[in-house]
Amino acid sequence: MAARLIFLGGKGGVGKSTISALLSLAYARAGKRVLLVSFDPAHNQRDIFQRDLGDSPVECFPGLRIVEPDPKAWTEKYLRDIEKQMRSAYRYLTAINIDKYFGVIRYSPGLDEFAMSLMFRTILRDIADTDILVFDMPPTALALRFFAAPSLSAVWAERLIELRKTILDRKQMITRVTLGKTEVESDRVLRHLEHEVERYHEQQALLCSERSSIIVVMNTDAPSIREAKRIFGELQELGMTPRHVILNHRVPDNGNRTLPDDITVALSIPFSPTPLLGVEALNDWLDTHADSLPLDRVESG
Amino acid sequence: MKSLADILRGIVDAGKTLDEIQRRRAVEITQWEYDELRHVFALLVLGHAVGLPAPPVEVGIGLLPFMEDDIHLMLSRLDTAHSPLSRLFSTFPAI
Repeated sequence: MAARLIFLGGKGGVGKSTISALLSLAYARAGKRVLLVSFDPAHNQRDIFQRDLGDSPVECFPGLRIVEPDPKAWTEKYLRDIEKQMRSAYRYLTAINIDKYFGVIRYSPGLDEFAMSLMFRTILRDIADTDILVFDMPPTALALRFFAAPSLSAVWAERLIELRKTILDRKQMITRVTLGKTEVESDRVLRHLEHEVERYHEQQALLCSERSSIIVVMNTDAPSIREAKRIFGELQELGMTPRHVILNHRVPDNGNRTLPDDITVALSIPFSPTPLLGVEALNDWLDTHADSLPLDRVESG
Repeated sequence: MKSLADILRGIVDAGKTLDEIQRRRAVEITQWEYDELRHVFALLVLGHAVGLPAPPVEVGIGLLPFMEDDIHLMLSRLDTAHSPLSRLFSTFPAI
């Protein structure tokens, strides 16, 4: 059975990383094979689990592996690979200052979500032994750009395909008139674009499918609630519907807060007076608050 | 005095020459359009290098290994960018 994907998003500082850690541990305790992926550049999981984490998954509890990929390292590796391909493919390399060109690309806007897409695709290639992937997402702006990336890239690539086909059509017209015959030529640019469009659509379909659940974490304060609403709106525009809202009480609730009617809270995580750091503390919390994080409600949507 | 056959042959030859000229002219104009479209394509894909709006990074960068000819076209255009009118008039016939 294909692994389920759970994305936890929300405003910066609402407790996405802590909820991700608790949820992942709860699944592992229930006998699932879980991979917790930290996409948050702040890399809080290493502090929460108090382990040295990186690109390779580390088992922090039986059934729970955690990975904290470094987006910069991934982007650098990808750019190096492209640079290598260019150096081997280009005939007139000396005429093009590739180093200077890549110096510009390294500071291009959009590299962060590109790195996330790259890491996402690579992680999905090797999840045969995983039941559930929990993604600890970065704060809203970057997370939304990640969710929008496949559809945006598909639009661009489709327009470029149209233009490329027009170019190839003109080329065929010229050869037909000059040589008196039509030469059907395989264009590597067109082939690459068509392959990429297929991949963007697959990723978009996966993010919109039943396999994926987007869970919004929020606190009881007004800015956090407003941002949760914005996330709902923007994701719906992309054809994705967040499955839940988890209300995380980061401070003791004085009972004066009222939540707006248009937000339905699926789960409410009570305030923890002690910091949830280390597997032992997380396990203790789950032992005490088993009812606060019922996995069947997380799964049911 | 030319026979009717010679006259007809002359007309056919003239027709062929006219056809040849028109074909060449059509090819030149299509070639010009082809070069311009390739230039537009290169600018769209590599726009971030020259400050133009560019496609998402993963679309643009992924195409780079296949874009050698397009990059050369764009660079050669930079060399002639100061005289766009001379390029235009060398393509279209004088009125």
